[in-house]
Amino acid sequence: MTTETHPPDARPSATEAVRITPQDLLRFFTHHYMLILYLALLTGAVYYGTLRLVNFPIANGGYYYQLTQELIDNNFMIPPLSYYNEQSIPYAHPPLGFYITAGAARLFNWTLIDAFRWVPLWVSILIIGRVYRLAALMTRSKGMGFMAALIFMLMPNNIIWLISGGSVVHGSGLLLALWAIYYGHWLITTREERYLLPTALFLALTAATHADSLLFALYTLLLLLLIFGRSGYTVLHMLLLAVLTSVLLSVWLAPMLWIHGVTPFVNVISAAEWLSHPFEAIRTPNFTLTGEPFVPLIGFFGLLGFFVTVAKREWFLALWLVLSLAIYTQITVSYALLAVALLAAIGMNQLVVPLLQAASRQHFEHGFMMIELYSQQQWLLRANRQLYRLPWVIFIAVFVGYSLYGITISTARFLDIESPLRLSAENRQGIDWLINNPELVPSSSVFLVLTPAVNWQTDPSTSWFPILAPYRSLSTVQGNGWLGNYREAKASYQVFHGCLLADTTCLRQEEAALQGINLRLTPDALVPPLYTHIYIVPGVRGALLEFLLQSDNHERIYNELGVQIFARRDIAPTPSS
Amino acid sequence: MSKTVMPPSPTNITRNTIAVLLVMLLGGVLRLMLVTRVDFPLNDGGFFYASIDQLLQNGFRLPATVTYNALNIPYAHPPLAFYLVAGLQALSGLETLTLMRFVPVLMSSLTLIPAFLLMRAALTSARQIWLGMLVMAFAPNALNGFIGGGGVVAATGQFFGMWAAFCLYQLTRTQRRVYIVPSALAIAAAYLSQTQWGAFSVVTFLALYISSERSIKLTLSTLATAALALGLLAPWLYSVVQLHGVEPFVSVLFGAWTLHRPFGMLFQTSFTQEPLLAVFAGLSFLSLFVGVALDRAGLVVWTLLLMLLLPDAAASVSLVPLALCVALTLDYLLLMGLSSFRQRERRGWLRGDWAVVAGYLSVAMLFLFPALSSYANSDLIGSPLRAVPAVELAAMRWVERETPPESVVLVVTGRRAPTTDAVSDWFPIVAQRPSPSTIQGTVWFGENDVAAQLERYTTLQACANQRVICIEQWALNNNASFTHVYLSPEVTGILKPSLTTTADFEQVYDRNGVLIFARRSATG
Repeated sequence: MTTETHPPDARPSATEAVRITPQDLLRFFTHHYMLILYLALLTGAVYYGTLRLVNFPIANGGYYYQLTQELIDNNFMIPPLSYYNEQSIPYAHPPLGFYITAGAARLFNWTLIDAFRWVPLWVSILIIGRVYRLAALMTRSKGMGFMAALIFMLMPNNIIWLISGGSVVHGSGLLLALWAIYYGHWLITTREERYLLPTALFLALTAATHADSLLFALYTLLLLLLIFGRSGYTVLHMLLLAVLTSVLLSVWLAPMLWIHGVTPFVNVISAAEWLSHPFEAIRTPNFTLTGEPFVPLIGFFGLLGFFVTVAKREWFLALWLVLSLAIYTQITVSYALLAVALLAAIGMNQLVVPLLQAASRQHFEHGFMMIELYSQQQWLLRANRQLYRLPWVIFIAVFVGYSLYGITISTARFLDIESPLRLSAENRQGIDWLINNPELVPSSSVFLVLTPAVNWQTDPSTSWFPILAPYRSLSTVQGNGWLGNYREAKASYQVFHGCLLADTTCLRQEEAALQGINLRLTPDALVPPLYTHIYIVPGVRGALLEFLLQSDNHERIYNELGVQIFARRDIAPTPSS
Repeated sequence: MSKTVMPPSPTNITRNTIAVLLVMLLGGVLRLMLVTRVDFPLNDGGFFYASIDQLLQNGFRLPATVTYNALNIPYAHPPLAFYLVAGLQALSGLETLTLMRFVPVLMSSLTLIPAFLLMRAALTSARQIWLGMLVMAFAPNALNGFIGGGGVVAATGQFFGMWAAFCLYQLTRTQRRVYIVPSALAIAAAYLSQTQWGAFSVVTFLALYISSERSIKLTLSTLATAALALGLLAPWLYSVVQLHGVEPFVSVLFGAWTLHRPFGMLFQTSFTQEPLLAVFAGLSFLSLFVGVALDRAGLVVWTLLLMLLLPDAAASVSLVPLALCVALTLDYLLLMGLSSFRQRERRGWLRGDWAVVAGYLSVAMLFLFPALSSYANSDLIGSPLRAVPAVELAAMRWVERETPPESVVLVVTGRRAPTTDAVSDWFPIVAQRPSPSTIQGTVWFGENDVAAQLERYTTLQACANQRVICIEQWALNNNASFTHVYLSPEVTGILKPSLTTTADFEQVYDRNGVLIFARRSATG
């Protein structure tokens, strides 16, 4: 946007009345910052409405909560170890997200639990604003940038990741990665050195927040380089960028390597599944990438945008989407949806709206001629000339209204006490009962937490159980990556949840199998128990519940509001862990 | 619904004929591939099987009632499709079940002929015509419900409904009297095949009349067509009303309103039941706006009227006007829209024509993606293209052989939608034992029975995740007695272990995941 300047001699005097023309108003209300303000207000209203109604962080975040708490307890100095789920884990996780959360909690006097609700909200608002700037830059259009950001905000599958408790890390990481990509885009397309430092700075900050976000930023920059910057000069810039980023990152990384060595980092990298589930998000039946509850209009417009970019041989966005879907990360969906949002905006802006506009212009042409011939009323002529906008204005209004209704319906599902994405008050009452009855549950107990969640990443119960209950959870995966136990922990989560549809024999068999024991060759009694109690969360369905009730080896010790706790009778009090 | 009529050149006619024949062939092949994957009719059809069987037994005279699921249901279902299958069976000697697999495929493929004529009358270019034909051949909602066992009536109804749409379109546009008799015949045949397609013809008539240039001549033609269609239907209507009153018809026509919301299809996950990204649903939604912008508001009004007045059948019947809108959308949006991105400098791959190629590739992808994903996922639970699995057929046959004839079996499949619960539908036919929760056929008892029976069905299926007390309570609430409980392999909830351990039930069958329990104390 350019601002109008007056030559010195034409400058209006202080007494002269300043005339504001409609163009000035239009320019003011469509300025970058005003557009960001609209998006921020809308995002704030929709996301706040959801967070206000739940009184606990959505989905995951337990491990990050512990790391943030320990940072606060250690006066904002990174401690050497963290203690989560009864395990000592090297404090090697990139810490910037924890600093942001702890700082915000201190600044706004929030409890840390509240900080895990409100920091994701603010981060989401900033992300939407940044998506607008990046989309406007990539599409070279404010309108398309605005539409892309709006679409990004309206996708139900995005909201889960953006406002979950874990967003203090992956949301912050995404925000910083978007900054890095924004400056990286300028660097590659303009080849100006002045963008080198901000790009390196934001890349380093991204790396100091969330490893997956760094990966996202890196492959995006690499793709930008391949498509827009195939020159020796740009390659040199990239090498300089790598050096500068490494230097900046070493402020955090070097001490970490000094304290922990390379082992935790090697463990985490070897646990990565980047190429293990290519295109899973679009291959799974009955799963729509965008999560729209009705007709998936955004997904469809994204497909149209894909066709447009392919037809125009503008490969970046199409390849960005393909790469984001091919590389599996913790929040693949959000990364892919960024490309989908841009493509959908392009599909609407370059294909749908022009068609509707052109067709209806032709349609109303006859009306224009009649008025010109028979009427001298200029206002009527002007009004009629705006009529051709009607179909596409209605279309945009219907699309936004339909998508807003869809996201309202989707977020309302968080409020269900059996929602797999929410740790309900009923669920927490079961944990409170455990805290209040230590005589019934020894402190050495290990819990198998069984939940209705579809994956461990967004499972609130297994993530928060070690924080809220003074017991170890066998089903919790978080934190194990740093110890080199990721695959075992994940397998444990998956196989025991698979037993929900079977009988108690399944639990025993999986318990033996996880320890590499063949039950046909080993007597049952010789299989070391991995857990002492089973904690069943509201919403769990499956035959196992009934089999547990009928089993002589299990005793139900708690059954309130959908939470059921079983103690094992077939084992000595202390399990091997 | 104005359009510029261009006289087709002989070359165009040949090219169009070849293109249409190719589309018909490909559409037919896809349908055959889906049907021949299994040797049992896809999805539903049990009630229709009983209707055909009893028509044959009665020497082609309509019986007063049809016995299905131990109920004597008024034989008020339009019988034309039953006569068609029964006639083919008498002529060919093929089994009814075999005919119920292939007649829907045949009728669904033949529908492409009147569809082509309608496209030719309503669209302006050969390209739009074959795009529309592609929609009719490959759209998921042109397959779902039309090639299963239930497709015997649905596909026959669609065939005549499409003829009715074509004839009525010509009648209202050309206002020529020559179309009065074919229109009336097609409306009557559509109604005699399936009530929904009869209603479709009436709503179509209304929509086309509203959007045409009305004149006294057209009004008189309209009245004559309506009178003639009614006259053709009168003998059958009279015989049914005399036996059963008007209640069955009222129930079928207005029962839908108690269960479905007008325009409800737009607020479903995907009314096209596409297993992956619902491309066709999105395309249909967009095409309504494109229709208005292109001055084809008549097509949009036609679609919206169908969604408003026939909410239960909207997903299938609205495909006819939607196919026209979608053809226009694809032509203007993808083929012409993407071509506009053609680069001026003619260098590089395909010499600047890449945008045109990309347009055609996009259209191909839009058709291939839903068709292939539907085909690949047709075995998924809940797919309208899934047949009763062989293991469940074996279990049903065991019930027929091994249980006393007076047995009543509660069929628990854990499903939510009775329309895709093939097991509940076919159980009374294959097992020859009544299933109190089966919903099919009950619509002919009256409007209230539809809602009540749907409630019975859903509450029983919800018991899949409850203890045995749930089904006992269900039986008490519904005043239903039962002797056995049948559990599909998909039932993985608490009910299974609960039945296994309770003393009131004895497990009598356990093969391939299907469990059958006999009740030790049969109480009402």
